[in-house]
Amino acid sequence: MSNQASQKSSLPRWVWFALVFAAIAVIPMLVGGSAYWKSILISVVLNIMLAMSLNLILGYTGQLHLGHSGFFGVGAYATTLLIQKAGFNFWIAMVASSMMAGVIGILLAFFATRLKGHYLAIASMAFAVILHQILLNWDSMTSGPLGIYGIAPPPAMTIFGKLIKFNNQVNLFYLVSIFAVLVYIFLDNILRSPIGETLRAVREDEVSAASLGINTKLWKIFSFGVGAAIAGLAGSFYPSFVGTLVPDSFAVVESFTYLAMVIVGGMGTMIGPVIGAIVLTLLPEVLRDIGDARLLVYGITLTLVILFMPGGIVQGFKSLINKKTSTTSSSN
Amino acid sequence: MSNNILEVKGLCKYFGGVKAVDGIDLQIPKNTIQAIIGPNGAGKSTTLNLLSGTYFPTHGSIQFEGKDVTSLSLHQRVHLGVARTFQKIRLFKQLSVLDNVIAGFHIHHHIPLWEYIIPGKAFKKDRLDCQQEALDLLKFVGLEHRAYDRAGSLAYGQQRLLEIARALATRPKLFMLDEPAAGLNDTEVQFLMDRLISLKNKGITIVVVEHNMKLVMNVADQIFVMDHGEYLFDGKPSEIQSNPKVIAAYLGAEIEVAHE
Amino acid sequence: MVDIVSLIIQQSINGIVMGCLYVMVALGLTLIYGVMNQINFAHADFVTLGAFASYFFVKWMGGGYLISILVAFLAGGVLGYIINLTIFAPLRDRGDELRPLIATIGASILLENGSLLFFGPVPYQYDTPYADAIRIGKIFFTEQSLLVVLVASAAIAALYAFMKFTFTGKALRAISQDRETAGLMGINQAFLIMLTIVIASAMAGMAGAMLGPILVLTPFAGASVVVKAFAIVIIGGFGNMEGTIIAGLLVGLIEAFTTQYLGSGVIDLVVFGLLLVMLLVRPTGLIAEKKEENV
Repeated sequence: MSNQASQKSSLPRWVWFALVFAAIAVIPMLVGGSAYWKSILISVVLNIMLAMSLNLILGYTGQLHLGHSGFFGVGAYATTLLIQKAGFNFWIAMVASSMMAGVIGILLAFFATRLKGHYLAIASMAFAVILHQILLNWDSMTSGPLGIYGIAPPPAMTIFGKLIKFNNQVNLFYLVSIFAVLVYIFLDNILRSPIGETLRAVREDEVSAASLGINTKLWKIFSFGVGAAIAGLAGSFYPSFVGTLVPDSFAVVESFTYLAMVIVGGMGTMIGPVIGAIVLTLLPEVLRDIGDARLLVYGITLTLVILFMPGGIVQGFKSLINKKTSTTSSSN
Repeated sequence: MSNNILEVKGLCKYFGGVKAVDGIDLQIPKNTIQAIIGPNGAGKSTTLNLLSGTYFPTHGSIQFEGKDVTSLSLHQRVHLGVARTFQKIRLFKQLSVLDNVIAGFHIHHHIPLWEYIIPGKAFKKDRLDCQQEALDLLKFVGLEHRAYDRAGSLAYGQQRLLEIARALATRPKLFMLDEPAAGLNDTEVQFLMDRLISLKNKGITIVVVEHNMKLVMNVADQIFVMDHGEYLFDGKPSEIQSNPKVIAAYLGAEIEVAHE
Repeated sequence: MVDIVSLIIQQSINGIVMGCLYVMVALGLTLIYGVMNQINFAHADFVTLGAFASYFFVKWMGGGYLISILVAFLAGGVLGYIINLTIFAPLRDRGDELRPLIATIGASILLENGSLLFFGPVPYQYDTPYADAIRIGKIFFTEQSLLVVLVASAAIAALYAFMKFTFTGKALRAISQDRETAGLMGINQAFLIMLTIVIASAMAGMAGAMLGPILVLTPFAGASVVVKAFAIVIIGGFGNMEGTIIAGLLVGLIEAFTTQYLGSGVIDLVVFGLLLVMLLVRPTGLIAEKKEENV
């Protein structure tokens, strides 16, 4: 098996997932009654999904994508509008808007197939700006900058005979967490398969990837499509979580926050974006005394990490572990 | 049924005003080793790029096993059985040696779609088979002891061999190499020559662009000489050595011509 | 009939004024890209900080507005020097496009939000002493606009002449065309690259001083210009001076006429839509030369 598997811990995967499930079950109790902190938890999970999906495109496929906020916005608005204006059921709206976001991702991928590096970075930003502008200006659909009010949470479900309502922050947290875990497993399995090898090849050297029979255009489209769909999926939970949906939540600068999460956590690893999302969502809250320090924290950590520890927190952990164990690691 | 694996007619590649390749005809019989030589700027690498599908020709046609492949791109030709290496080393340096070779099995996986999401028997079998075949390929180029090292940590000559192993993972019928001996010392060149002949014995057709005359003379069945983008001469190694046109084309460039 | 003509002339003037400022900002970006294949994402923040520098020079130190433009010029230069020192120079030889770009993104976020903490979100009222209007028939423009066009034209012309006719300028163009060979010819690349960033950033700062009275002066003033500046650089061709100048004026004119006929909300859509079209159709820009990918 490839080295990435052998680098992981000696615990089998199912043990990890059992631990994660236990943690998810317990965490809401740790924050007690604070509604504020419960909503932060939901933010963390949504950010995890956004960071993971961006990492698929940026970390594994090597596409310089700075427009992820657009896909998130498409998911959020599509879900809300499908429910409010077309009377869709929440779950169907969720799937539909996820697919719509995926299609938009494929559109952006067409730029990616023709552009590289800086050009793609700017094109993806322009893309995000355009999406943001559409949300702002298409008054008849989106109510423009004023936003859409009074968004209902996902409809209550009956599980094992119990009625579970989602106007409850804790239940919403559990719901979103389950999706996040499913997405993690999905991405992890795909990336451990030959698909992961293919994407890495596209990232490392497109020309030699082509010499191995890889259709780089197709795989970029795959990467953007799946990444965008996941962002759209996260987006469909966002409106019910915030209650009011405004376009400015999806301004281009938000793309940079997801970028920061991926990089600070560790680009190109599965756990990196998760760590980055957790750290960068919680850190500004912990430092709340300094004022609205959220973006400042992102700016500082992003700059420092990319300059001095480009592999992020994951890289930091690995060097710590390597220093402690005296055996020489053969490779990474 | 032609015995040629590749038939090229009227191949041209113009870059703006520059005629890098101008009207090349070429037939490459199956299971032979063909060398393309010529002084610098002769258009050899461009020809290789055209034959492999890395460039599209301005004019001309290319037939692979009787099929017209002129408009097919590189990755599409790989599916048909064409492989190539590059003049500049293009390994996946951050990945391990083994992972580089495994990447070459891209077109040969037999895994049902759902098993990419939820791995099952076919997935595991594929992984084991790939790993084994990759190790065999590494053994073929003498690198199996470095399988888990980072590709970037290999010496230059070893990186060249790794590139060959990786390209062979695509299981090609036609294997094209662009200056594989560049930068190799004599021992390494000897090993390379030995491996190329071994590949020919396994039924693979080889096209090699080379400056190293020792390799060319000892290994090639047929040599195709180019100059200024055009055909100059072709023939067996013995015919090439004494040909006045070839010698004239090389005057001014320093080439060592080794005798058998 | 005369009305339409005056209208067109009016908008053209507005367009050219903004265009001149865009060109000043975009030229810096394109120069930096030409010489070291990097984009400085924080470039627009140099514009903002230049504006603030000139503002505080006038307000706190009682200096003249014209001199404050020079102050902004210097401030921009210093910022450029620092960014080169901390980000571009250390990461230079890795050949990595990604890391320096991301570092400058981080720097940009840092500068914007640091400024936010420092200056606060409330827009600053930047009054220029040249606010008087000049009227010619139905057309009017402010002295400030005239100043902008004069200073910008002078700066752009000076830069252009510098690049085309001086030895240093030619050395810079050599570097942007072929770094390896230029290095072999004994040109001190590190120094020249530093010089380029300093000049580019200084121009950005200067543009800020002149933009201050026109735009809303907040820590995010530059951000509103940045993606547009990128659009201009791409439309004109990365590293291409003539193209950038034309593209900058073009975008200024497009904005002026779009505002007139379609309303200001749609400006960004039009400009970025145009950008995306350009990227699809001619990614190398209006006038740029093609670079072959060497295999």
